[in-house]
Amino acid sequence: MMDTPRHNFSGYQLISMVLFIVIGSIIVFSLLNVLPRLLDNKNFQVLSAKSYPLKSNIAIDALLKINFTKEVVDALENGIPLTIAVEVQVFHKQTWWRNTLIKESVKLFELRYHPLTNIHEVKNRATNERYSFNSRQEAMAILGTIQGAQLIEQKMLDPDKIYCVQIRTLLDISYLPTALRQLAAVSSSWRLESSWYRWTLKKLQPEQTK
Amino acid sequence: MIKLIFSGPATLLIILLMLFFSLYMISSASMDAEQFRQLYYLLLAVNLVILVMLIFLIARQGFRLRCQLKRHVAGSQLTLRMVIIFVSLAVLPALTVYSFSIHFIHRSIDSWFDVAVEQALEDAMDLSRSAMDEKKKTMLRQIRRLSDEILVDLNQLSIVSLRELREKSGVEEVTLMTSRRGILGSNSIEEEEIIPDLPSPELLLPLRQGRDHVVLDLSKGGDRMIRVLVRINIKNKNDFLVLQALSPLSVRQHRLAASVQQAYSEYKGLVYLRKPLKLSFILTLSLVLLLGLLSAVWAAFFSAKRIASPIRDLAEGTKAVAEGEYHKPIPLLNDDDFGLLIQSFNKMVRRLAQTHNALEESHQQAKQQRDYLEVVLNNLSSGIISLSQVKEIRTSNPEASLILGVNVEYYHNFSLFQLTKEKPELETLIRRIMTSIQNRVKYWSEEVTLTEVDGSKKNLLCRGNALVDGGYVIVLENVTSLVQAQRDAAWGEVARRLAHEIKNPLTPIQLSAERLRHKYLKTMDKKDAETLDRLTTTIVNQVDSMKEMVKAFSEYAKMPELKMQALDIEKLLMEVVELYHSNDKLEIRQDLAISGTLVEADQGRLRQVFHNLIKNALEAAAHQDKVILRVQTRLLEENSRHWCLLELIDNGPGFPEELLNNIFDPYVTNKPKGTGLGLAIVKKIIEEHGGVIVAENISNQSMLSAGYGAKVVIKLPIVDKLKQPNEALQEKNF
Repeated sequence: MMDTPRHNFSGYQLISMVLFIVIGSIIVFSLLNVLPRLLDNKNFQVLSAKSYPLKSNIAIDALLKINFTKEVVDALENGIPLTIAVEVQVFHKQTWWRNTLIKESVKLFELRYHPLTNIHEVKNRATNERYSFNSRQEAMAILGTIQGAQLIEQKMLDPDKIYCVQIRTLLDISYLPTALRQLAAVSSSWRLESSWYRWTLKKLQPEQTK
Repeated sequence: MIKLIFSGPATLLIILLMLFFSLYMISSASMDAEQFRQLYYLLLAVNLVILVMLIFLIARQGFRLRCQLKRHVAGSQLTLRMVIIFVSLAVLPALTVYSFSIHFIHRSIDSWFDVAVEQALEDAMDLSRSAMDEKKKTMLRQIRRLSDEILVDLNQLSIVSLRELREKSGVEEVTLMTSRRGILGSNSIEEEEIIPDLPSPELLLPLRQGRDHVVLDLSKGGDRMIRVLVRINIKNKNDFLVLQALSPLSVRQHRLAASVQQAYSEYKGLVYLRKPLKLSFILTLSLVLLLGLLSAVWAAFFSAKRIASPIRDLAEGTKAVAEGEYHKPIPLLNDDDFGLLIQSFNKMVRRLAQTHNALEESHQQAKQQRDYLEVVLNNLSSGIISLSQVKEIRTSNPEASLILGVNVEYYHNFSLFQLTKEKPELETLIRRIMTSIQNRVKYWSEEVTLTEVDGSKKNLLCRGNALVDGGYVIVLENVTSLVQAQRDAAWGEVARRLAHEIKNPLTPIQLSAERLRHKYLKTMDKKDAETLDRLTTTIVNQVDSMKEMVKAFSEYAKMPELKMQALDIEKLLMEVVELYHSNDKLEIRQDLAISGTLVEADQGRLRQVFHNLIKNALEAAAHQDKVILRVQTRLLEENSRHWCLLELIDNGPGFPEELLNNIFDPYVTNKPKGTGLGLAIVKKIIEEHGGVIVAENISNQSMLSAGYGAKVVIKLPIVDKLKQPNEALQEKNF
């Protein structure tokens, strides 16, 4: 009688292992995303926001607080352009797991410092429009003030449904130079983002809630 | 579940592949902003989980190896050594490469930056800044001067004044506005320019503080303008007017300034990124090194385990074989050299198992034969003792112990002579056996009479046979019964023939004598008649006497069948003894201790025995003034058998010493008129009951008044004992 080689690996084992990695990754990913938000981040905040009908559209006004940490200011003054994102979402409000996203808008603004003229330049990345400011505070003040920005056309909204709007602002580290990107991803000084500021659009009557 | 997930080489291979892929994805995502935003944290999480898994796997392997080392598991030392070697082989080059790479990265990145270049850029920047400042200052002075010259009276200002100012200063556009940026007037070189370019409110701040202001915008896509803002005070009012003059830079000036600014910004950016870049490279390299090291350590564990596994299996297999476990084949992992070795080992073990089985089978057969022989020997009526080469007892059967009256089993591995310590009576027998053995007689046979401690004799037929291995086997047969039976048969035949031969002529003799007397007594004279009468009477009487003797012979020759029944032996004895209480000359002393003891016996025959013995005692002590008969009963345990002993002791002269050995033989008597059959019949009856009778003389009769006496001991086997001896004693005492 010949002895036959022994094998000890099964498909079930492979599936188990992949499941383990997937579940583990989801847990760690959630922790990586949730933990920074749990910290009290006061540098980026949405101070106030509201929406109102403007002609055939819904417009929003918002006041954002944008402050950079020392490390970020240092990078800016050393010629590193910073990208600030303002995200706005409109969704049909139902039970929380059934909320339907109607519209999502992300505005990206690039802030750059010019040492020769000591000017801070803000560029809308979508339209390439540029604005020069003599100081960073001036630039931040302008960036933090949103007035009459078009949100969504009224005809896209059903008057019988309840809609929610949420807005937040953050420093988008994905536009940083590659060398800086990974470092910024794991540094709390670079993880600058506000929490979502949310209010309800009810029967086209803007009502501010938080 | 955990064990299922984390076992097997394929698991780790997949984990490593996933880790490499994930690292690659991280690297790729770092290069692309969109991918970075979407994937970076997820990939980071995956990487962390996989790294933790890898570390856990290695820690688990390490812990298991530690446990194996503690338990001295076969192959664990080898595994440890191989792990150390493999890890050393992998780690040392990796660390060398790592340190050199770090050094190289530092040097390479640092080499990008040159102090001279940096200084030159700083100087260029300063120069540009100075040139621009000079230009701004010149323009500010010029606008201020022209403003002071032309805009003297604010009430008479007109477009003409503004045009004059613009033309004289050579700027592109002049605008006069209020402090709140209300346009009062404007003149531009571009005729179609209707709406002037207004400054931001922040630009007016220095003017509010009483200072003029000039700014330059060089940003890409910017207006490349020098913006001069001059404060014009209004008399008697706190308010002021603002004169703004816009003068474009020349294309060359703008290009040069923008170029300097861009180069400077980029260089500053690079200098700033030097540290994160180094950190990023070091981080990546460290991660790759960590991954490499962990992979190497795991691979070391895996390889060492894989190499040591067949060795451990072989060691365990050998251990199992050493412990007699032949049915545990070693699993075959691979078809390599070790596989070949394991196959050979398994084949060897199989053959060993077959041999062992055959051996076991033959051993079993031998055991069965030995058991069979043992059963046969145990059931033999002959005693068998085997001796070793050094003449020590090797084996014996129970019958040997019975025959010799010593438990021979206790003396295994001892010399035969040791038996005499327990029973000195065996010395003659053993001496004769050992003499034959020492004379190297291969086969011998001898009949030996063994005198027991109670005086009884045993006829033993001893046979010896030398064994091939130098040992000896002795067969003992108790032929006492046979000898006795032969003797009894012979005596019976003698008695029968004697009775037959004598009995036949006795009647004619008696009749003839009576006829003689009857016929001739009357015819004879008185004197002759008396003589005849006396003679014939003597003949008749002697014939009667002979008839009695012949009757006794006949009785001895053919005793009737025994009617056995269980009876209280002590009670029976005392019933017979009671019959002699009426004899005044006889004093009976009792020492009884076996009341209720049952013996399987013929009541009539035992009565005959007791009568004979008591009568013998009375006759023997007849010349004494007082005949004392002592009756004793007691129990005896001998060779696991229970006996009752009945002792009758008189105060007579005892048996004649010359007859003592044959006192129970027929025709042995010291009485003038005795037939010599009384004690022979007694002995025959006792032996028919499976008992023993012994006669002896006693010299010290402390219990009796006379000095000497005869003692007869009857030993009968007990069938059942109704009461324990102690109980019997208690009954008696109470």
